[in-house]
Amino acid sequence: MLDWRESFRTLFARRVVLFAAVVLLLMLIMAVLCTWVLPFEPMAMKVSQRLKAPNLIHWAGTDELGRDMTSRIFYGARYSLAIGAGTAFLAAFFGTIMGLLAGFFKSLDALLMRLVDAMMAFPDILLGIALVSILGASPVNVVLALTLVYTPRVARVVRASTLVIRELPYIEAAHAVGLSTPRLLFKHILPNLMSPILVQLSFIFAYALLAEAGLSFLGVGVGAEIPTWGTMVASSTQYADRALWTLLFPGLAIVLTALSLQVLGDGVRDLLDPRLKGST
Amino acid sequence: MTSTSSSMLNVEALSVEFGRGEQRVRAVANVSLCIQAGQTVGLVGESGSGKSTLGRAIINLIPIHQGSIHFMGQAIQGLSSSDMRPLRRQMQMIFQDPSLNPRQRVGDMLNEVLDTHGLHKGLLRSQRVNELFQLVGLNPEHRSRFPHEFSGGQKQRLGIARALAAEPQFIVADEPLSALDMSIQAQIVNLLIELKSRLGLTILFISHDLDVVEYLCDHVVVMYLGRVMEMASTEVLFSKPMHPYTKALLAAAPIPDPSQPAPEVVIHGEPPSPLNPPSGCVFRTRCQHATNECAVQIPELTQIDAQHSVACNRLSEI
Amino acid sequence: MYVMNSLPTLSVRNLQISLLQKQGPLNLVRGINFEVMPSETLALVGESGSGKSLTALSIMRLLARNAHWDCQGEVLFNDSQGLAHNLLKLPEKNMRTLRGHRIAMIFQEPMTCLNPVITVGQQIAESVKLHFGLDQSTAHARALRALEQVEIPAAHQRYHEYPHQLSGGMRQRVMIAMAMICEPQLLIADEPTTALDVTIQAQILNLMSRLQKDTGMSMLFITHNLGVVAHHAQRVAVMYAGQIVEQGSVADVFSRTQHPYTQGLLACLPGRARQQFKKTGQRVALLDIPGQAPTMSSSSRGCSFAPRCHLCFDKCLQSLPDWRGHSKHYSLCHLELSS
Repeated sequence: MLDWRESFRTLFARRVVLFAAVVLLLMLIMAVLCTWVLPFEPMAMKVSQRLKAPNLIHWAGTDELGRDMTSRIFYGARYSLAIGAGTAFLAAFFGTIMGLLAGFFKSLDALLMRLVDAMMAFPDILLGIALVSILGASPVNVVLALTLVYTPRVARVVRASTLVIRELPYIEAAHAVGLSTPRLLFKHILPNLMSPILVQLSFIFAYALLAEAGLSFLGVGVGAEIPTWGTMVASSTQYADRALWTLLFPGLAIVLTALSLQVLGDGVRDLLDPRLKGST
Repeated sequence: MTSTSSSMLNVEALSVEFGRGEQRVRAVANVSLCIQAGQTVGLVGESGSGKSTLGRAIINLIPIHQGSIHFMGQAIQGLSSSDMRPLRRQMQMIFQDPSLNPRQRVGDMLNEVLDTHGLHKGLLRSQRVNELFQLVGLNPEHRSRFPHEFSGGQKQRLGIARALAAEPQFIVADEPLSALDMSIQAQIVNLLIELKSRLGLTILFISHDLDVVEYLCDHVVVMYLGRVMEMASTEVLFSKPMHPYTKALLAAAPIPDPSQPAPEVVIHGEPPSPLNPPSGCVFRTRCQHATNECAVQIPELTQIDAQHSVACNRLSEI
Repeated sequence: MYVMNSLPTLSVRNLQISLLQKQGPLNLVRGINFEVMPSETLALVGESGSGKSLTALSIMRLLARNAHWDCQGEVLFNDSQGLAHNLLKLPEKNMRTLRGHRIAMIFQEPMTCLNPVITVGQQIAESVKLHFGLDQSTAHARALRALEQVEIPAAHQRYHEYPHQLSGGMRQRVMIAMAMICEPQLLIADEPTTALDVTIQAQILNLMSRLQKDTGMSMLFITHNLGVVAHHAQRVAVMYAGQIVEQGSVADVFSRTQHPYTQGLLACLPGRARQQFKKTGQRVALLDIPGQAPTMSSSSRGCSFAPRCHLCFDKCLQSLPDWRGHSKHYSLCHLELSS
């Protein structure tokens, strides 16, 4: 049903979406290749070169320890993107399971949804802060904390879609044929949930990115030694008045990436939703 | 339709309810009927009659509240889904279009049914799938296509193929023609007739279209607001209807021949809400023969002939 | 009441409707002609894809605005003052005064055509306020009378109810009331009873016939149900793949059918088979029409029905058919069929 070539063409018909996808792709490529391609080491400190403004040698300037900002941005991208992606996939995984079970089995619905309500009662940042404070500052803990924050959001969306799909004629037909419940859930309902799940994935990626930056900025993130965009913003506060680039570039990286993810998510949703209306 | 031990399907005092408290609706109330092997029984009624609900309840797709269902002598009401699974092979359903998973290739769909019931394993599988396609008049080369690539009539054929894949003996067809054009309806009707004789199927044909039922079925059950009003062989029901509702239904159906009499409006008003059915006989609010007795007494299905039963309090007077 | 003149209320000449797409135009209605006289009902019959609904929508200029439609031809509406309006060329402002007033339309699904948050009585009153400039109380009284005219019991109570509180049959009556309140000259009904139960359908059709007799309006009745056509229309036009393949009086088309498609349609009706059985005592098989209607994008040189026609011969596939018959009953076919 989804002809990939045509899907890509429709998705990228809007220039903005194409632009966003290109930005993300470039960011990803640079994140992977930065240590081979770029001239400076991201962790190499050269105190004599500290807080130099952007010039031909250091395109984005240097930070307070003389480290090349350009390398640090792209190196930091590895952590930021990994944390964002990790959170997104884990939240999608657990959220889908919860939502699918809650939507399909009436007996589990009330219990699971109360759990979801409890989880959602906390605003993301506060819950993140609380969890990292308890568990300690590290990338893994940040991912765990943020997963806990975003799982309920996915669960709600998946549950709503499951409730709708469950009542569709072909599910009833599959039941009449005698298909076992697990088969019904995983082979028939789950594939039809992929659209809302994909959309949620892209949005949560963006939210996680921003949340990690926020947490690190507040000092309850991954820990100051690890170079994520959030920690870069955090350590730049002292010097921002005289060395704006130390704040500007990590900030720009966060904004650009989060925005691109959201635009891409919008594009994917626009692609999949009207199709859904036509096909069911 | 006398109840004998050789009947394929025996339903007794079946009731199906939905909702809770004030919103409780009795979609099917105290229905008893009997289907013999090889028969094609038509289940007619207008919206709210409970015919679709009855069809689903009979093959245990929805839970029932009272009564019993015996399929080939075995009681199936209240069976768990795992116990039902082997029986599901014998009883299949054809739905109103669409009933196909839009993301599943049609060949895979048939494969899945065969997998579920462990039929035609290994090398014979592919051949069997081809056979099924041909059985319903479709090209086996289209097995890797998706449902949206087929027309309405072809999708219905696929639905029939799916039902037949399990090699059932009993099929419930719930308004299989309603979403199709006239010429396609005729194609499907002819297909069903051919399959019926070729495979020896027993069919419960649910429809609101009296003409098709008359053409296709040998027995007819007329329902109104969850209850059976009349049951008879097709010939008898259409030539000598006894229940006022059946008579009204037949009078209202337009005959596609201008030289024949125009449809008559025999009953006026709207059917009552199923949330608040009339006491006694549910049809009394629209019946021209209703008396005070009809408000008190729920009419029992009385057998007036070997093949004819009517549920009416005033049978002797009409 | 209208002056009985010999001018048709609606006269459609060579109507063509195309959908303009990037790949080229899609010709959905390919030149149709028909007329509807006062006090007459013309049934437009066809299966899905025949173009019958499009025809009705284009007459009312209600084609979807998110697509590019191209309508050619002439649609003349002769009003009671003797003025002729070419509906396709009329500016939108003028069309709006005609729509809902002189020409009314009712649809298959009343629920989607009624505003769920306004009471039904008020919706009817809006229509007459708009077209006649009446005040609220007069409009209220008229709307109430309209509800009574369509045989809604307890009309004064129903007036204040919302669409979801009414049954399907009631909602359709409300639609009819809304359509009739401005005393239209032409009523276009697009499958008005398809979604209704057969007993309710009989009531609604009787109501519409009675209203027509009382007001002398013309009716263009679109349906796929030949049983309804047989008893509620005087003339019928059968459409297939965007063309009218046969047109004539109901009696003629049903008993002296000229076109193979019409013959095929009649032969595939179980109701018809039942009639034959009653007359001859012999069971007649249901003859289906093999294949399916052509997709709109395919265009062939010959007759569009040829691939499915049991009487098809070479000429049918090579050249477009001509008109056969006479002005009162004609068909588009290479063959002269006599039954």
